[in-house]
Amino acid sequence: MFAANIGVSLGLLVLSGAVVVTAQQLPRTLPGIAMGPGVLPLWAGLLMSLLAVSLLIQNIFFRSPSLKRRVFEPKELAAVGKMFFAISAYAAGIEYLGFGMATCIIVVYLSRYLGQYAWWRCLLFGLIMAGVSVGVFRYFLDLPLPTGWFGL
Amino acid sequence: MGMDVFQPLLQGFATALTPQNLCFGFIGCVLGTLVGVLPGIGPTSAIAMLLPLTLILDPTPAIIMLSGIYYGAMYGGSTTAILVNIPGEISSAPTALDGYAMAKKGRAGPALAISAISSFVAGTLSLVGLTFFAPTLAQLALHFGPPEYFALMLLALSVVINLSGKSLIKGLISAVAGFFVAMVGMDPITGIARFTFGSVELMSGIDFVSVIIGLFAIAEVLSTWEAQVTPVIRTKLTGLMPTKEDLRETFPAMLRSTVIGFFLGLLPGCSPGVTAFIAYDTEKRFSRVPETFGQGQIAGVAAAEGANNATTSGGFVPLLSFGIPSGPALAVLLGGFMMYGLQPGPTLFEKNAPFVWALIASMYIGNVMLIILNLPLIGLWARLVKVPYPLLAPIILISSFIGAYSVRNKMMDVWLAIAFGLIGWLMRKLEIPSVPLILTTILAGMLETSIKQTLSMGDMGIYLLFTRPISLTICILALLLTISSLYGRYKKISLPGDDEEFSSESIEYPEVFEKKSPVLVKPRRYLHAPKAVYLVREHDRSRNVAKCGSLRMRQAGEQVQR
Repeated sequence: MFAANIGVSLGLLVLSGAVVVTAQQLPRTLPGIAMGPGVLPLWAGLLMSLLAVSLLIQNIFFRSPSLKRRVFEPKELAAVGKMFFAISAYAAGIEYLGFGMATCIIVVYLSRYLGQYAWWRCLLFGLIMAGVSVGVFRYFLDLPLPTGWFGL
Repeated sequence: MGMDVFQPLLQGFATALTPQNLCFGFIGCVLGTLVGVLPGIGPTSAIAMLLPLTLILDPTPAIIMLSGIYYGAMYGGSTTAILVNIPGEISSAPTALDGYAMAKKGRAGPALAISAISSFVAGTLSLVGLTFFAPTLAQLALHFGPPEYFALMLLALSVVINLSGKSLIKGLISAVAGFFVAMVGMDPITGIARFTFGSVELMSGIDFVSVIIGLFAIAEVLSTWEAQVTPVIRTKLTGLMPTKEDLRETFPAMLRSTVIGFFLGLLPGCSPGVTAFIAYDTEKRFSRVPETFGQGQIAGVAAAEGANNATTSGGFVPLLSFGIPSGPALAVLLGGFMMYGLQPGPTLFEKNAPFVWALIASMYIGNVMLIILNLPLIGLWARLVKVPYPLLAPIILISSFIGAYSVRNKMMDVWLAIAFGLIGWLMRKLEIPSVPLILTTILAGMLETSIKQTLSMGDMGIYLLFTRPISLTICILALLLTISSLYGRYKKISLPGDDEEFSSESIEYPEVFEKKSPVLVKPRRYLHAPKAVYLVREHDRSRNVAKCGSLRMRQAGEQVQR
């Protein structure tokens, strides 16, 4: 946790620095407006950098025993990475394959990968989920869901 | 005044009880509960989607149905918050804090029942307020100017301290990060682009729906998959109704949350999400066992649910009396009024009195419909917990993606939700609470607008806040709340989300408990049962109720499986 907190502090320092620099390029006053669009980002950036420094100091000088534990385990990271990839692929699939087809694929993949059900069950579940989702949202609620290359 | 409203209200009931209006009121309540239950699909998008479809109807049944969606969603929003820790609505986020903890202890049924009862009590009582005191209260709200709104935002922000979990610094970091998120897009007053990086799609800002969906729904999927566990509540779905003790414990919370929710709901900009947090925070202060909040305290569920329902009724006061929508859903509803040629405002009560009173009466009827829909069907909702996670995860993902997409029909919002999902997972790992981020994302726009308007009101600058009695009072209240929260932290009162004592890594389990936990594959990691026993043994003398709560969890038979 110690290393993670230090990483967070440094990352936030960089982020808040970027916010402050960007905020300074925005006008702080405008004719007839006492507070321009740059004021709140500037203060928010400064406050964030102050908090980042506080976190840094707290971790370096006031270390508690709970900081010893590991935050990221390689196995967990790999599992989350796979899931995140699947979620991102689903979003990309919606754009290019269309909502219906992408939904069918992600449902089959997740139920097979997570649940380890039989292929035919996964496929059936995927088809049902895709059909119901498209029916309810596209046709009943008239939501213009992306159709992709295949019009699905 | 009472007699003045009694007659038109009766006429309103006569109109609302016609078969057509009853039917559309019922459809609105069912749809509202449905959109409330489905994570990510909010009443705003549902009302917006259905608005064009209602043009085939008369104004009265159409607006009755659309209003039913709005307040029905408040009932439904708690269901997924309690059962799967994913608030259907932002207003149910504080419900998840204790409701989900109760579900994990095998008390999902009582949590859902109390949620429905509290919603009904608060919804009905606040409707009485709307009916009888609307003119007077609306007059008071009329006196609110930008300084008062700014002060009100400060009051809402003071809640952040109490939602910061075990590290105040991390809580504040989360809150400031919310400001960062809200600042993306055009400045609310000048229209100058900020932090858009040249992207046209970011000009309209980051919609908070994407943020909520990411931080709650997608992060939940990632976290659950990371642990590779399927939480299963073994408790049979019997004894779902709350005990007398539960009712006795929560009744004062229901009343308090009604008052808070209704009066704050009168103020434009004070959404059910904000009042639910304030009511939750207030309830914790009133409680004799504040350390149990966040660990499955039923009063927390009652307070949050009562407040968000009372706020929906309160929000109708400025909408009907002055044409001021207090939130996004009511703004869309205002569009519905306009679509039908109805101009909300003082003249609405004169020119369209039968319509207004029928709408108010339909809300009384809708509350009865909703408790009938929710209480007997608790078992149906509770079954959601039994759905295996490999089947539930795709459903959560699909509804989350549609929810994010339906806000503006842009894939950009879906990608943002995914990005916030990853951020949410990282925040969980790093023990940074996500609730302050959501709160400030919602409040930042209103806060910035009210500051700018306040500063434009004269040469006094921010000191104007302290020259007006109402804003001064609210500021003092905010200061007192902040001091009291800081004092609470100093005294080490456990806070919502503060799970330091429950961290698997912070406790060294004695061997005996590891051996006595046959249901756990890796007791050191999949921890609840041995931890509960261990903690009670360790802390029984200090009479720490939170840790006794863990014992109940053990007794309820909570198991964690691969």
